[in-house]
Amino acid sequence: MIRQSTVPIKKLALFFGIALLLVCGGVVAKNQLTAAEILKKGDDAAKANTTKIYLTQTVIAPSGDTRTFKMVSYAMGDNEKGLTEYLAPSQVKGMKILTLNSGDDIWSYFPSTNRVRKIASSARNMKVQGSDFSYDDMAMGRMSESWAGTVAGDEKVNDILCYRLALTPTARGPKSYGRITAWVSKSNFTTVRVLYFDKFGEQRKQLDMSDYRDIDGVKMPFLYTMTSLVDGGKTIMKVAHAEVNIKLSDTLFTESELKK
Amino acid sequence: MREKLFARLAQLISTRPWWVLGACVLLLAVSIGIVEVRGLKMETRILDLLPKEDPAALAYEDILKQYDSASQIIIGVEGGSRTDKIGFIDKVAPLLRHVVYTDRETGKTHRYVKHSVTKLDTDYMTAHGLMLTTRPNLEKIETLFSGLEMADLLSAYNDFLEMEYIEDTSAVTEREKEDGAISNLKGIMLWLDGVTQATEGERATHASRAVDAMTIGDQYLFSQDDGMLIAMVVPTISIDKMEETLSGVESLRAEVQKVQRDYPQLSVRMTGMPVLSLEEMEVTEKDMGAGTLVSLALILALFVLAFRMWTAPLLAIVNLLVGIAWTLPVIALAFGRLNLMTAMFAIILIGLGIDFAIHLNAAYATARAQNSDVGECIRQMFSQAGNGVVTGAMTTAVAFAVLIFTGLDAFIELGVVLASGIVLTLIASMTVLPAMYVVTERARRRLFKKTGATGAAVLPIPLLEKSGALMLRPFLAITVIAVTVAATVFLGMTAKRATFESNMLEIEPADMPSVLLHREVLDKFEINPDFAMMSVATVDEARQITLRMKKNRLVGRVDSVSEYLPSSAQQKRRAPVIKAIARNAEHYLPTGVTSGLPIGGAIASFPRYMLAEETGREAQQRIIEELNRLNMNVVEIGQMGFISMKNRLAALCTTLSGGRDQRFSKILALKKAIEKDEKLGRKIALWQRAYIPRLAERLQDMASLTPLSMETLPGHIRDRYVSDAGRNLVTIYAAVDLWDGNRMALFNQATGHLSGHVTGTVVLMDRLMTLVGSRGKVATLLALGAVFIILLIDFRHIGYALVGMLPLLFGFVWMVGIFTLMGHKFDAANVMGIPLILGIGIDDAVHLLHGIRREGIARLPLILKHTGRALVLTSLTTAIAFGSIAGASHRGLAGMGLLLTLGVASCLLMSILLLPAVAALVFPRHKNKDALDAERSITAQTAQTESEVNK
Repeated sequence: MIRQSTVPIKKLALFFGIALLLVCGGVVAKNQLTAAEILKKGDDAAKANTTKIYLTQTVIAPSGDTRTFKMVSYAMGDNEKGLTEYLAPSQVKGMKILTLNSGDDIWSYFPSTNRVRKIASSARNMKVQGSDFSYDDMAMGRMSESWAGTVAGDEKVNDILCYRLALTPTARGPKSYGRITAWVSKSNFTTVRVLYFDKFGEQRKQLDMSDYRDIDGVKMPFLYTMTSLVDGGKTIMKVAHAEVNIKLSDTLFTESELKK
Repeated sequence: MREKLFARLAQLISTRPWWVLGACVLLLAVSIGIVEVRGLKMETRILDLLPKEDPAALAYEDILKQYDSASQIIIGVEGGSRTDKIGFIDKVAPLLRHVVYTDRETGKTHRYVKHSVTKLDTDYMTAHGLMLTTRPNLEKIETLFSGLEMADLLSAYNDFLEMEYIEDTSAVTEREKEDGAISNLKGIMLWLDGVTQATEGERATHASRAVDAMTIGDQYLFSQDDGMLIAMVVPTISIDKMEETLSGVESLRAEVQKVQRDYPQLSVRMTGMPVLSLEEMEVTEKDMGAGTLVSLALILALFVLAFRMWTAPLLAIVNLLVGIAWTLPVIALAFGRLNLMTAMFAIILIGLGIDFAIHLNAAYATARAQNSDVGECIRQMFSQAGNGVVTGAMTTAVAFAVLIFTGLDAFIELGVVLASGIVLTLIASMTVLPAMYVVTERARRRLFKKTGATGAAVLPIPLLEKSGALMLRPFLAITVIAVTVAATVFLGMTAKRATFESNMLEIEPADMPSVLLHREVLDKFEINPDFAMMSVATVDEARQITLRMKKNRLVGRVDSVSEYLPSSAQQKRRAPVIKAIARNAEHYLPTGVTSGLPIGGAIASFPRYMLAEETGREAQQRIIEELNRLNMNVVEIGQMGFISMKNRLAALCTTLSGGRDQRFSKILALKKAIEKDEKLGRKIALWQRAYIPRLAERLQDMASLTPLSMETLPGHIRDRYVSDAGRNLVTIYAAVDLWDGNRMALFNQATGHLSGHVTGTVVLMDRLMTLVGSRGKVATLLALGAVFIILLIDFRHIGYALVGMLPLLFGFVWMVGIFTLMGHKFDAANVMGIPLILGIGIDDAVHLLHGIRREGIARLPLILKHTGRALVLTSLTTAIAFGSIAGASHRGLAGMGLLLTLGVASCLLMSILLLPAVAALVFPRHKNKDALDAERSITAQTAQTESEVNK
């Protein structure tokens, strides 16, 4: 009897052992998030249907010359539509930039001449008005849809423990970069740093995002610093005030509305 | 051991002084012989300070070899009208042939100017301008010049401006396109002005100017606002031939000034490394000349006052000269040259070596005051000051010698030269100087029949003795230490804020013309007068680099042969568009002119504009509307320029369009004038007849399809860019100030990926500064370590060695702290003072510690009275010498003077306050027998001396 009973117990123990291993393994595997999952979590944390942001943009040219602009920026549907209006200095006050279809169509409005001009589509990868941001950077929608890749390890950036993601653009992603490395906080999935590489694999620029604040449940960086690694130019954007998920009219993002 | 040596030396010197002096003269003769045979060159090139294998140094040498010259001078003309400036530069251009330099060795004069650019070479551009334009731009030109009549052309210009500069946001962010926009807008305005400005007689000239401006741009190198005109001069010799360069620049300046007399309304200045070097030398000579005279007079007065001896300074100087002369053969044998750093060795040796003489002289004078036996006085002198002088000299020599381990040629040479110089000056001070004392004393006795003690003594400083007595009270010693430590902590915190001025121009005199012009050229042209260069194997390589560098915002202009030589593939792609442009231009020229035919006479077909007496209303109206559109375009381009920080473009657009205030718009003013003009139709017709044929002809001329190759390239262009060995020179003008270390680091990063090695004077300077900065830190730490070991060996007591280091370490913190507190920065010039402070700072401590060790701490008042007095004197002479340059207009020199004066004062203060306080607390107060004997003797001597002095 005893003999007979020991075998099933051993078998049972073995079975439970294996099951436990599988479960634990599964748990471990589940804890190892994929890059897509990390990006998705980041997108979810930052998801807002509409945004209205007042910000100050300081451009530091490679020569050391500095110019500061104040602007208000509206966005709708994961940056699918965007409108930026310059508020200061007086030389550019009232100038507007409208981006539609995630940056595929761009218009500029000049108040001093009351004219609207369509910007060439080739400008997507060009600098936005002398800053170190390109239209591609500004119009970048959900990271999880624009980029795909792998988790390349963990790393501390600005004292924040991050996932280091090696990403390449998806079919919907920007065409102006060959790849990027993104550092995403392990604790709250906010993107802390992005390093951009061109198609030849050379580093082009670095975006640092900090001072994340919770605006009605949406995590938003209040400080962006884009540094050109080619010429040392730098653009610092400081958010002064932000509103999310507010009611914005679709007509705000139309060519005809620019002149109003 | 040392004492025995001193005793024997004293014996030899006092009995056989002429033997010693004879040996000295013999050694001098041998020294001169070695220097004569081996040769000693002055090589003041930056290049010579860099490691031989440094890529930038190798590339620089290669460029000098391949292209003869690696420097450039810029002449900047301001004031007066545009015509004045052109008149001036056109007069200067032929005179540049007469500019010469004098060869240092042969004394013969040679031509100094290799080539110059006073205006652009338009011949080549006129013949091949279109072939030198990219295919996309040719297509734009084809569209632009499809109609040459005024209304069509203005409309096409507006289309072009909108497409090129407003709808393509990248346009104004790229430097080349910004330059293109400025050139285009200036050309358009000159062309439009023709309608109203050009009178009958001037119309042809104005049309030619307008066509030039519209097709090849401005011939002269004017700033955007025409306020400054520049010309570039490339010398035949490299700047490393410093004396020749200086004579060449002086000759150039004389020729320029000669012409300027006819143009008093103009302000003319020059810049570039050769000019900067000349002006720097002139300012330094002026600064140093006055400073040296003042400091020499003050030091002489101090010597006489302190030692009451007229001969003392004279003997000290002779002794220093002997030390320097003995060092020369060592340098000749070791290196055969003096470089930019070691060229200063004599001044440094004077600064450090004079202290040996002061310490020895102070001890000798004290002994001589009471003793008539010169031999005994020499023995006492060695006994009192010998140990301190030897140890002080050895610590300084070793501090310099460890520079050998930095691995940097510049430091190795400096280390060897100064270490050997100090040891040899020490030997001279311990032999020749006392021998001269003996000889002088014998002469004094023979001449004045005086045999007794001199009775004269060193000027007493009673405060020192009192302070020594106070330090022996523990409470006061602790108080002094506490206060000193507190002040040091505060100054240490301040010292942490010390910054380094990486911009070399910031150490030059602020109002030096070449520095001012350098900044203005950078501001108005966004081009750095000091450029970087590369030598590459093929034209294709030069083309790739040129293309790549032009896209970088750090770069203002790239110059290479590829600008004149498109590849054959490029030429093939461009040819069809060029043909189309030429074909279109042909329509605007009279065709079928067969004048001279026997039958039928001249048969010609004239284009419409040539036959029309006046243009129609519709065309006039179109021009007026297009002027409105032009104004709007210029406003918008200006705004884009402003946002993109393209200041030159934004400023031009504001001038043309009035910016936000249209009342000041030149374009709208022209429009108003046209609108009011009743004869507008006729005027336009006349203007069209003036410019269209010229424009059409120009386009045809520029449409040459002759294949361009190295063989067809004009000689003067080829010589400028291509070496005899067939290598190609690429010159990169930065748009930022390369003298600024941070910008230079970015520039180095941007050019680091290129196939060749970027070099140039500024690049070499940056390399040197980087190496000096990194190896300098190692050298300082090594020197401190070596000094500590020497102290340990000398005193065989860790306590003495540690206490000996205190004045130097604390004094150093004080020096840096006070310097920073005064708002000064460290720079390439004043950091050279740091090794000097290491030497000077440790010397003071060594002398005092030797006194304490010899006499015992209980005799601190007496030690401070005698040794402290010598320290005050040595510090005062050094402070006077360095302080005299603290007011120099050369900011680098002034900073070094101030830093060293502060350093000397701080180290002295720490030596006579902190060190005695610490020593009084940590060293036991027992008195050995020798110390007691010495005390009795010194007390008696001092009392006697003072009573005599008081009498």
